[in-house]
Amino acid sequence: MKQQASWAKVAVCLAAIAMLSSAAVAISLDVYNRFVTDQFKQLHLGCTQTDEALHRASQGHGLFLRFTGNFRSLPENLPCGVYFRAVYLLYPLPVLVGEPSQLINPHDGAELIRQAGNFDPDAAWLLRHGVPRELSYFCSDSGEITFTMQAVAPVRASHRVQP
Amino acid sequence: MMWCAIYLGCLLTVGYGVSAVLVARKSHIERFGVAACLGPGITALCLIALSMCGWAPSRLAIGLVTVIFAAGGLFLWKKQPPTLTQPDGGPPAPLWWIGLCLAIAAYGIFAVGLDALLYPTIEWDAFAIWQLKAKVLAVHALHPRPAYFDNVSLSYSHLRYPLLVPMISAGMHAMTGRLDDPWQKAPFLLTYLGLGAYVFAAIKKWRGPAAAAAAVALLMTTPVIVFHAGSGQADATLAAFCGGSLICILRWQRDGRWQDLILATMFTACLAWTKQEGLVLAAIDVAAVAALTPHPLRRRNLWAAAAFALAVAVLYLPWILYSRNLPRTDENYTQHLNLTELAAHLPRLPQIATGMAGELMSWVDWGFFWWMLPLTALLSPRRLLERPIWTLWILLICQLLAYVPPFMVAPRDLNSLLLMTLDRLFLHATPAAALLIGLQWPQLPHPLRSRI
Repeated sequence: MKQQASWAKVAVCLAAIAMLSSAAVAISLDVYNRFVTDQFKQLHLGCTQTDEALHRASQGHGLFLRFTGNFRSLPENLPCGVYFRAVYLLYPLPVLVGEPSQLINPHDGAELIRQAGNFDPDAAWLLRHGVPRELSYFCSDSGEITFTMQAVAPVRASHRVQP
Repeated sequence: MMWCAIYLGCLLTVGYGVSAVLVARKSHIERFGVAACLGPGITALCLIALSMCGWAPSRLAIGLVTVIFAAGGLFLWKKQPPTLTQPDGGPPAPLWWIGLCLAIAAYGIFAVGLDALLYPTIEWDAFAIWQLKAKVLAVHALHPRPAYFDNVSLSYSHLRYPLLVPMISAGMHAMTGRLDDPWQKAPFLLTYLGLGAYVFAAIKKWRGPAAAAAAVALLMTTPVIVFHAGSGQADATLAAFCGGSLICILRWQRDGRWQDLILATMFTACLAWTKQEGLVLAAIDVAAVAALTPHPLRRRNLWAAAAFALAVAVLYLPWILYSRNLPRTDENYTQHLNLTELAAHLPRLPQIATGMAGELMSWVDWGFFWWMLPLTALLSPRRLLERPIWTLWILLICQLLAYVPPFMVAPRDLNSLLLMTLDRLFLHATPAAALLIGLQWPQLPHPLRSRI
């Protein structure tokens, strides 16, 4: 009986120590990622900057996205991320990167770039598809990304912005 | 802000309407757990039904659903026999232990609350799939079918995924009257809290508050749950429904109360409507009701299993009918799941097994959560012979292995697929694991209990 009781004590202590260690590891990791490193801050900042650019480019109209240059050299799937974000952010306004009948599956950034890079619609096409504004991303060989905003109608204005 | 609070109040009221009638035990925390998990699920199912009839979510529709469930719950609750007061299944726990576990769980609630209430939706799948659909559902009724469902340039958002989670957020858009509001993820804080409360109440009745507090503190601070619960994705909500259904099925097996089976039906239907993985988990639930009960071949159990399966199928049928004509544009796993393909991809098994084992042991994703399962089993080996425990082990193993066949036939690079999906898939099984950890938690023999 005494032996059983001391074993039970040991078992309870072991389980409690393991549980507390697990919780401590989990909470420490979360605190570190959230408040110590700037990983979260950078993520939010990047997201906010993209959102601002998309809102400024769209200004309440449908948006055409274009990706040209050397995006394949980037490790991140940036074109996909920008396109998905734009569709979400601007809904119910249309956002296109190519022909609307073009199938776009997830995790297919290279294909998205190929479509967007090779597709060069004229103003009539953009107006017909309800995307009178255009946001073009360009990636230089050194990996620097710039973007250009254009309005097809009613006034065509263009300016270049360094992100 | 005000409309957000009103919407959360509506979700809880609907949930309480159900839990007041179907939860027989006199436990506030259990009633809250059921209400916080099922309230969003049932409200969303009602809004989907209305949307399929041509009414997009609106304040009126949400108010109507709330009033109906509140009135129905109140009416039936008054007619009910007095509620059961069951003693806890274990000794009372020292206050410092409960306080410590509460403080640990409070950090999880704080972190998920930050993500759900303050931060924008930044997780890739959350905005590309679930919250995009929420906007679609908030703007358009499902009848006539919105153009979104035929737009293949949006096929990356998985046009055929079921709509329960997006409809929960769409209700928030409808209530606040804005598409760009930051509150769309707030209801998922409720389901997270509900999961913790329900698991706590269940373990407390079986093993007492010390085991319950430990298991729930562990569950609610697991990094993967904390990361996903407030992100606006469906996986943590799926886990909440999965946990709820398991608890109800275990209780049905123990007590044979029809109310528990009805609750299990509701949780399982919500599972199926949440994600396609939910269909697999629902099938496991049906198999558990049919085969893992004490007397599976008795007429009462056969009827119960048939009624359970039929009710879940009937509740899911509208989505089968609605989605049958939607374009199939993404990985069609059901088409690939046949013996020929499985046999052809057998060499993938070692890679899948290694990936799964690696994920279970990843302390960055899980802390020592999965290690606690064998540890508590080793510390209380006799418990493995108890019905709820071996039932849970079988269900847990089924839940973990259910994803092996889809991985075998996945028409994509397996390594990247495992890397991207395993944490979320294992998240679905965390309630079963937390229940097991709580039920296996070692206890002191009687004479020692009063001294601690």
